[in-house]
Amino acid sequence: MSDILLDVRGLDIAFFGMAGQRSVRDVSLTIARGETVSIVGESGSGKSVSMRAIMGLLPDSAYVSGSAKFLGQELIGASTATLRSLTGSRIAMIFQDPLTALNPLLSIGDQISEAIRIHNRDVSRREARERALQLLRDVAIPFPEKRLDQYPHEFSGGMRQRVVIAIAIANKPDLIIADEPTTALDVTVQAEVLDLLRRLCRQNGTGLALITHDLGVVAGMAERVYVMYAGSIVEAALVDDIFERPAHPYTRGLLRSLPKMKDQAKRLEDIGGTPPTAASLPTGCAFHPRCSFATDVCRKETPRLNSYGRSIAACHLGGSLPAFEKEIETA
Amino acid sequence: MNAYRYVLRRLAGLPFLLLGVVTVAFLLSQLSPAEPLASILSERQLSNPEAVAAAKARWGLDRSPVEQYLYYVKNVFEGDLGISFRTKQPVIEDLAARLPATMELVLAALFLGVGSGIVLGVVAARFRDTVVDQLVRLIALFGSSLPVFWSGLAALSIFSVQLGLLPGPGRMNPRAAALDPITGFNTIDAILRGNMASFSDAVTHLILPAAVLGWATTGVISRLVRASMLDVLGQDYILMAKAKGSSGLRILFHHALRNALLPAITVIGYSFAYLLTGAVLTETIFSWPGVGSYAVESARALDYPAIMGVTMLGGAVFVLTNLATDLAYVLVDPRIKLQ
Ligand SMILES: Nc1ncnc2c1ncn2[C@@H]1O[C@H](COP(=O)(O)OP(=O)(O)OP(=O)(O)O)[C@@H](O)[C@H]1O
Ligand code: SF4
Ligand SMILES: [Mg+2]
Repeated sequence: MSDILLDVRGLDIAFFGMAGQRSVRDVSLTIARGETVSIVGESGSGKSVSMRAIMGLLPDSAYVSGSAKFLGQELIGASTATLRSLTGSRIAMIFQDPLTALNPLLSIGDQISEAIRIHNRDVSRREARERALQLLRDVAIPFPEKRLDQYPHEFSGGMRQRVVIAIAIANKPDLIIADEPTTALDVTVQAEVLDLLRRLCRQNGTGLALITHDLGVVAGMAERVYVMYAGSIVEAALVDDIFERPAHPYTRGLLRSLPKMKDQAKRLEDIGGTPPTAASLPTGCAFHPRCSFATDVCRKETPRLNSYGRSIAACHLGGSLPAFEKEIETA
Repeated sequence: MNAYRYVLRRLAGLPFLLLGVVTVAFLLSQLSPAEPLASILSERQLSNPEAVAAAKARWGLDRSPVEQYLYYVKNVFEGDLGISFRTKQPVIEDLAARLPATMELVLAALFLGVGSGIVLGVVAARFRDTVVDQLVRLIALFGSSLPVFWSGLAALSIFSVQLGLLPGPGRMNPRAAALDPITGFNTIDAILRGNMASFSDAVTHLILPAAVLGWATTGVISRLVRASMLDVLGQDYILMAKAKGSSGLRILFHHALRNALLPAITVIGYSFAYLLTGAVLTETIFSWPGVGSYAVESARALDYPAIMGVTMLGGAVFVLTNLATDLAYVLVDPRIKLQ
C-alpha cells in the first residue's frame, strides 16, 4: 500500500462569497511513488487550487473538504504544524512564474539555504551554504560559486526556474507539485527545464504532479494524465491512451488544439467558447455548451466517471463516440 | 559606482540648492512690508535720524538690495550667517547651540512614530478587517488629523497635570544640576556621563513632546505599511515561502516586512522633514529650547538674519535627508544601484 504516494478522494473546494458554488468538485486522483502524473485543463479548471489545497496553501476564504492522504497521512484539515513539517520537506512546489516566485531582497544562496535549514535545525549556516552550492550544480547553473550570492534580478527566467527547482529538491522530497513550471518561459528554455525536472525526479525517485494546460508537454513527461474541466476530472488515462483513443470530447478538443494535430486535421478549430466559472456552471454536463456531441440528456444529467478500456471518462456517450481518427478525417 | 564618490557628488549639489534657498528667502524678506529697523531700535531711537543712520550703516541696510544680497551670499559661503538682531550673537552659533535639542526631539519622534507605525501597520495587515484593524485605523486617523498644538496641550494636561506621570514642559528639570554637553543630546550625554538621574530626567521630559510630534508619522506609516504588507502578502514569493514550510512569523517579518518597507523609506524621509516643520509648534508648546522655538522667537522679533539662518538650515537638512533616503534604498534593495 505504501506504493501510493498521494491519494486524493472526493476533494471539494468552495470560496467564501461564491454562494456555495464549488470551484473544485469531487476530484479524486492518485500518484504512486516515483510516478509522473500530469493534470491538464484550461485556465480556471481548478488545477492549481486542487494542488494548493493539498499543501494547505489556500487563503482562509477557501473551504476544503474531502480527503488527501500523503503516504497514509491525512492532509485535509491537518494541523498547521503537520502541514509545515511536510511542505518543503516531503512535498515541494514549483510555481508557474519564476520571476515572482523568488524574494527579490534575498540572495539566491539565502533562499536555498532557508529551505534546508527550516527542516533541518541542526544544519549550520556554513553547511547549508555548501549544500546550496551543490544544489546549484545539480540544476546545472553555471558559475555556481558566483551565483550563490547574487539576487533574483541577476538571473534570467530559465535560470530562476532552475533556482526554484533547486529549492524544491533541497530536501529530497517524495513528491513535487510543479504548477505550469514552463508556461512563463521561452520556448527554447522550456524543454531544458522540463528535461532537468524529469532527470532529477527519476534520479531521486520523486513523484511528480505536473500541472499544465498544454498536452504537448505531457507526452514526453507523464505516465498518466488527468484531464480537468470546470473543477472536475473528466478523464483519467495512461498517456498513450490519451493521444491514441481519448475518451472524452473535451480531451479530443484539447488534442485538436495542439499545433501538430492542427496540421494533420487541416486547421481544425480550437474548442469554441470559453470554460464556465463556478458561478455560471451549466446544468448537466458542464461541457455541453461547447460539445458537438451534446444531446438532451447531457443538458440535464451530470455524467459520472466510467471505465472505457484502461481509461475512465465522464461522458454520457462514453463508448459510443466515433473513433478519434475518423472524427478528424470527417471534420 | 563607489558609495563615497556618490555621496561627494550628491553633496556637491548642496551649495546650489542653498543658493536657491537664500535667493528665495531674501526676496521674501524684501517683499515683506515689515521694517527691520523697528526690531533693532527702540521707538525713541527710531525718531532720531542719527541713530537710524548709524543702525542702517551698522547692519548694512543703507546699501541697495542687490548689494545686500551679494554681500549676504558671500558671507554664507564663508560660513557666516550674520548677527542676530535679537540675541546679538552670530546666527550660526545660535543655531549650533539649539540644533541638538531639535535633533533629539525630532529623532525621538521619528523613532517613536516610525517604530509604532510599522508595528501597527503589520498588525493591521495581519488582522485585516477585524476590530484590531479598525482600531489601528482610528489611531492613524487621529494622529494625522489632530493638530499638534491641540494634542500637545491635551497630552500635557492629562499626563503631566492630571495624572502627574510625566514632567511638564522643558527639556530638563530646571532645578537639577546642568549636564555638561558632549553631543548636546541630553539623553546620550547623561549615559556617557553615567548620570542616571539626569538620564531619567531627560527621557521623561522627551517622551511627551516626541510622542505628540511623532503621532502624525505613526498615522502615515501605519497606513502605508498596512497597504504595502497586504500587497506583498499576496505575492508569489510569499506563497513560495509558505510552501517551503516557513512559520507564520518568519513569513511576516523575514519575507514580507522587508519588501513592504521599501515604499516606506521615501515616506520616512519626508516624515523627517515634516517633523522638523512640526517641531516649530511642538517646541513652542513644550518650551523646548530648539531651533523651532528659535524660529518663532526670531519671526516675532523680525530678526531677519536669524530667520534666514533657520531657512537655510531647513534647506540643508532637506538635501541631506534626500541623500540619506537614496542611500537607504541602495542598502536595502539589491536591485537599486548607485548612479
Ligand atoms: N482566492 C480565490 N477566491 C475565489 N475564487 C478563486 C480563488 N482562487 C481560485 N479561485 C477560483 O477557482 C477556480 C480554479 O482556479 P485555478 O487557479 O485552480 O485554475 P487553474 O486550473 O490553475 O488555471 P490556470 O491555468 O489559469 O492556472 C477559478 O475559477 C477561480 O475563479
Ligand atoms: S456528456 Fe454530453 S456534453 Fe458532456 S462531454 Fe459527453 S457528449 Fe459532450
Ligand atoms: Mg493555475
